[in-house]
Amino acid sequence: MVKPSLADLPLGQAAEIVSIDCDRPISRRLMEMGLLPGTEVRVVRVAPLGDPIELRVRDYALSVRRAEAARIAVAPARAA
Amino acid sequence: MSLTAATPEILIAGNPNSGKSTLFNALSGGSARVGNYPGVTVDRTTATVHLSAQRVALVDIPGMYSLTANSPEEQLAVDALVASETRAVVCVVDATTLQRGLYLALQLRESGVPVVVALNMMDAAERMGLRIDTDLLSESFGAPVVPVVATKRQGLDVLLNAVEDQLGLTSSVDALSVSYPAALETDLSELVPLVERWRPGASQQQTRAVALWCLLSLDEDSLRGVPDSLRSAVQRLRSAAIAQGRNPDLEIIATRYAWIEEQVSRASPSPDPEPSVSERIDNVLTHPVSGLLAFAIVMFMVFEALFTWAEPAIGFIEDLTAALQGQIAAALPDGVLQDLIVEGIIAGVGNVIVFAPQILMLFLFIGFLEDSGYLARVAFVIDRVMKGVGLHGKAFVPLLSGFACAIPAVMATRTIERRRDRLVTMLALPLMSCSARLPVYILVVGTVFAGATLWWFSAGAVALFAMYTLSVMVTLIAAALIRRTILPGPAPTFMLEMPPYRWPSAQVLWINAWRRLRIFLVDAGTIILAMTVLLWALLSFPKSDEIAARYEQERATVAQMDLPADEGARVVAALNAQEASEQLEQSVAGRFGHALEPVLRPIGFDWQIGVGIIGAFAAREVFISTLGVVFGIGEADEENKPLRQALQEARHSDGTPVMTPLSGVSLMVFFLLACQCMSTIAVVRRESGSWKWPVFLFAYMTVLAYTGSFLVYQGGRLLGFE
Repeated sequence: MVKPSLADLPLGQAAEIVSIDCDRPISRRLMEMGLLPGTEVRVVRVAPLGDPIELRVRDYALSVRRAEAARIAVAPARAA
Repeated sequence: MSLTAATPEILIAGNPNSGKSTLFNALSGGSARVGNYPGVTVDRTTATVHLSAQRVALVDIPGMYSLTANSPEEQLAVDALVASETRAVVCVVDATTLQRGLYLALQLRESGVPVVVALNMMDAAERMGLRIDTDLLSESFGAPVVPVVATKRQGLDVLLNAVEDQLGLTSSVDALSVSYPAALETDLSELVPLVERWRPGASQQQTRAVALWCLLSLDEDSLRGVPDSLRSAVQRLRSAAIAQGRNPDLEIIATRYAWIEEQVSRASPSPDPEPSVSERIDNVLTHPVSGLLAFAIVMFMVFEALFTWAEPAIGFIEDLTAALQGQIAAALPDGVLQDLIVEGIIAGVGNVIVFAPQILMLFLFIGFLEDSGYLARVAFVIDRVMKGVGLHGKAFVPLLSGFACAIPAVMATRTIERRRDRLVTMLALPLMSCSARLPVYILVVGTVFAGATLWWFSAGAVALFAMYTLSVMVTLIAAALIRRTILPGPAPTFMLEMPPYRWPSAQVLWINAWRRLRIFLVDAGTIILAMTVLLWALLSFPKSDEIAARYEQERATVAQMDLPADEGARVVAALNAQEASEQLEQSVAGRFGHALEPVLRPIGFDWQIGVGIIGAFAAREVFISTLGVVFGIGEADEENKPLRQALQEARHSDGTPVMTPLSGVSLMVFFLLACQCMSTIAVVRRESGSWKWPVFLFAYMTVLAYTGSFLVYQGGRLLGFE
């Protein structure tokens, strides 16, 4: 089964990052900006032309292209 | 090495958008000097600040999320950190995104350098209901944590005192040591001996920090100066780890974040902050309809500012230059010295200063967009379009500015983070049809399409519209091609923080715009001035005594003819213009134009146009005044009737007209595609840091222009046009 990715996440729904599978410099950058397995993340906005998308993570907003988001696997967030 | 040899340096580090530059400006009072880091095109901004007992240099290093480096640009922060002059680092952390900011602070602390954490934007954090126990944080980081509000200059004295305390410490500060998973610690212990050999004299903790940095940074990088032994050891350890299903990057980063989460949960156990004002603003500004509308309006204003608002100032500078030239010409005796000062030096200085209004205007605008947070949204909204040609969303504003003038536009590329993305943008945007090309189009259109229509449009309007469309297409294609051929690399990514909207400080905007202008005037200005003088010499020398004597005699004859005063003046003016024309024809540039004629004929030009093109290198619109001299008309602008007539009447040696609709279009295409602008060359030299890129730019655009004109002219003839 294909793991659900951040690119498939419905707008506003919280999820937890499972793994990041981008090229090393991108994965590393994302991790250093606080996107790690277990981190809670939400998609808060989609650009007017459909790409990129804006994420909310660790109390700030980060936008990434769908191509990258598709390689970030997520799972439903644990109930608080 | 003595520690007192140089002024102690205090680095100001921090995430992008952490208010680092605002804090730097607040501490330095705008007295900063901008230089360049050797070997990379990153500004090194420094300012001298007097503490109570000593003088220190503050160094504003580029904004970053971590010390991990992949390119020489990113490496300079690490190099600066280990430099012997560096005595302390102020790490600016945005209090509203504490964890991410503290990641950098932790890395700095691990390296063993004395750190003072400036917890900025405390006012915003308090409004969001965040409570931060700075004492607890300070305790866990082993570094003073000072709350500040840089925009309101709050907490600066406490911050400087904390910095001074760090300088006064006699024993070195203990580095912070975080425990990594056992397997990673084993990897580190294998790297330590190699790091010790690379950096002898480093403390145990510094060595450990460098080993960590290597493990995280090396492999597929373009870093300089790292010993091969270390590089291959990292490669080996990484492959071994990956074979065991480990990910060393993840182990390091996750351990650090886990440590930070623990400290933050103790120091700031606040609930998640409420959605901010920014989110509500973004609901409008990045909305599919209102977002695109707002985008269009803001971009139109940037455009309007460059085109229209800067115009009076540009006109004023041009008038002032002309007035000064008139004054000096009247004050000095005729001759080479007068010409050098008037046509060479004053014209050259004028050529530099004339860009000032647009540069200031664009950088005030960009500064406002950037500091307010909207520039990130501009990139967010338009990235989809830019992605198609391999550009970053942030390339949009520079490209758009290219319609007005390539000089400020090239300077604006520095908002783009990655050097490769910056270079691609810089090399493509001079193809945007800038405002200096317009007078050339107008002259050509007025000459060859006067009164002509195409269906129900005027032929001239169709030609102009075609030029602008072609310009956009060629720019985007060139960007895509350069990205794929000359500057290939890892797939470009976007990954941009959307900072909260904030109201920018007028003082900071002004300081930054002024700083940019000064860099241009000093660095690019020198080159432009030198090229103006050189061009003047090429267009003026050698001077023929024979021609001068002949016209002197003719003027004497006219003087004796006892004509009415105005009639006499008119005849003398005509003689002067003819003399200038003859002198120009046998000058170096004139001879060069003649020599070029065999090359120019296949694209529909003759030697006179060739001389005009050479003169146009000073600035494209100079094409027209040079043609005025070539045709013996004297002063001319693009609406000049005698010049249009002279162009219409010009004939090739075989009697066919030079300027036909076809050769006119060919000429416009040539000007559209050619890099006929020494100021562009000069500014690309400044912004790319080497002569390699401007030379490449000039070469590829010249080849493109010649090919384009050749295709238009020869293709048109095959299709039966004239």
